[in-house]
Amino acid sequence: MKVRSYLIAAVLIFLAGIAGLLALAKNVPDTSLDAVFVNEIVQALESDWRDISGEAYVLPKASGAVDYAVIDKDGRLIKATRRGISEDENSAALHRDTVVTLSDADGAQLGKIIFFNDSETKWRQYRTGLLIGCAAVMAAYALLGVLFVLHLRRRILSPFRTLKHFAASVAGGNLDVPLPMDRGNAFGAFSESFDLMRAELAKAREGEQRANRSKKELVAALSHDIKTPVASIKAVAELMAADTPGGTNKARLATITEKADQIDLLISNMFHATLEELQELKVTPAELSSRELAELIERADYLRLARVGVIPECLVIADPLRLSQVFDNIFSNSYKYANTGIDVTARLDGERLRLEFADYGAGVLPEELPLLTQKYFRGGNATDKSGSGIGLYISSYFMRRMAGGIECLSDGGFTVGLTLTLA
Amino acid sequence: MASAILTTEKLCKTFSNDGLQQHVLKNIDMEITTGEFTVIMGPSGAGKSTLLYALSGMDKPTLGKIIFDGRDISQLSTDGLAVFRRKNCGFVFQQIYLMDTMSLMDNVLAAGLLVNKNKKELARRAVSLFDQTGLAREQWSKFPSQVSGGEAQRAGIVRALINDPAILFADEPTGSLNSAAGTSVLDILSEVNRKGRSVVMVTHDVRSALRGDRIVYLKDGALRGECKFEKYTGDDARRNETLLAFLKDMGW
Repeated sequence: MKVRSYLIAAVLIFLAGIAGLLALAKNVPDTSLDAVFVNEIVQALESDWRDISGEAYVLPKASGAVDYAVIDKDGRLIKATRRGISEDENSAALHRDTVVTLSDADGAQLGKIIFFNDSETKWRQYRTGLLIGCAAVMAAYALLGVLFVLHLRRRILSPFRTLKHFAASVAGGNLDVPLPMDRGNAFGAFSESFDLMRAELAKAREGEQRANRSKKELVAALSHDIKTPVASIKAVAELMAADTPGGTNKARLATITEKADQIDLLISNMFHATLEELQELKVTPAELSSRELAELIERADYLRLARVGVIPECLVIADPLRLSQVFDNIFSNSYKYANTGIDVTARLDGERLRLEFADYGAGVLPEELPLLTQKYFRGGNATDKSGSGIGLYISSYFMRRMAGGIECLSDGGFTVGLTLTLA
Repeated sequence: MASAILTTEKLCKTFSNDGLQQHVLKNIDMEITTGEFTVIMGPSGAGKSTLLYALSGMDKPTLGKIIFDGRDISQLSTDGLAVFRRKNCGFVFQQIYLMDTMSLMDNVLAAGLLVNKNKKELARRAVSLFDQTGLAREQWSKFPSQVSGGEAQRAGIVRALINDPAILFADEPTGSLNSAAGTSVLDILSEVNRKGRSVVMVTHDVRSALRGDRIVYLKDGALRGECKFEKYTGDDARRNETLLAFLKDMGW
């Protein structure tokens, strides 16, 4: 519902309320006695006076008309249309009832009729109606207010929060978690462009990684290619030195061997230097409560496939940013390769907290398990999926830096076990 | 082997201020057995008082469990905790906290009336407890401002014991007293413990700590070590040396 609908609803409720109250105000109860009814009763009773005190006589009364009591001229009650109304002149006076004298044809007094004053009942009914009307209008406004707040929360606040988490996860370097877009909300177009930006960034990063990798592969291939001729040069030089009786030539051949060794060392250094860039990822362990841990897991599981068990209450050592990257990696791997439900269980194991993320997909081959946390390794079932093979490698690096560990198992699905040290 | 009366599982207490979190207690696993005199020591800011308040139900832990006599008290409501405390815990504070407008006896009876409505029985109990502390009879009807700190603290102990609590908690009970008054208060605590009641005391003072039969050392919100002794029977040079060595080892 748009904001305009809420405004219209508010105005409608206002108008309906005013109209209802006006109608009520116009409908003030009529508390005067009906003269025709009174006359009819008086005449009927005067003519039937003789029979009134008989058991069989029923006082005439139209439905909805006022109740009344009949007393004789000494003030004694003869009959009444119902119990609980004034039955003598004193209480009639106190209750402001109407007393009418009954006389016979000669004008002698027979008795009196006390018409019960029912204006109080009528006013009470009127007041109840008024109160219900006012309460209904107020309730309608309150309901509208609550609906509006809920609407604001769903349409503006919660998408904004999602956007905030998204921005944090992108800033933390995780480009695999898409931003779910809700076409209906005010952020629809906005979040779409954000997600495009993320996708572009992810593509650029993957391209960069591929380029880097091919560069490294080139370096590795070249190193290998260079090492082979250098080894031959060294071997030949050593052979010649063995055959040379001594003097200047032997010294020169020794120089050749020495320089060949140097080239070999330089190539090895160059090869290893390409593997060192990981040291730049900073991990800052801090104390993290089990509740925050549960929030991180919930946030990482953006497809809501996980069933998270109870996490025992405790305080662990972890870097929330890096740990959330590890969770993101575990979940996105599971979405990508298994796409089944994921059972997350946690238990305390001495001075450690162990978390297990188990899916029910195809798993990996047992011989590949130890290789999963190796750099650039991708399982045999990953050939048709995009990826660079460094997710678990980086996760394992992060976990080690947080004094924890990561372990992969394949047993009717794929399970990742994380261990965290208690604070 | 005495049974555990109070057990904690991964007890944590975090104070948050403007999004800034301070973890004062971290994963404390601790067990207090019936009849034990436990002393909690540690440097300032280690979380000793916070631990005492969490153990005694004066404050709720952020995470973890506190099991008192088989019942998890960390989940109780604030009112439920108050009722629990009244019945099961006695408190002795450094600042004593007696009500100034009531006599010592009335202070004690007021605490007792919260739990026990039988005034005669309460009065009998109060008299017997006052007698055990050695506080002279004419002092009982005086107001806190008319008695010495040591005497007020004795009344504080009587107040703590009036409801016959399972555990007596003491937060630096001798902190505001001179040496002689401190010793007499410690003697009373030792006596209370000797009769079988568990005592948990936080202190900075080595002389006070000697009274304990189990000293736990708290640092940066975690238990760093503990040292066990026989029941206290009187000053003893070897006990003193062992404790000092333990404290030195802990970085006291």
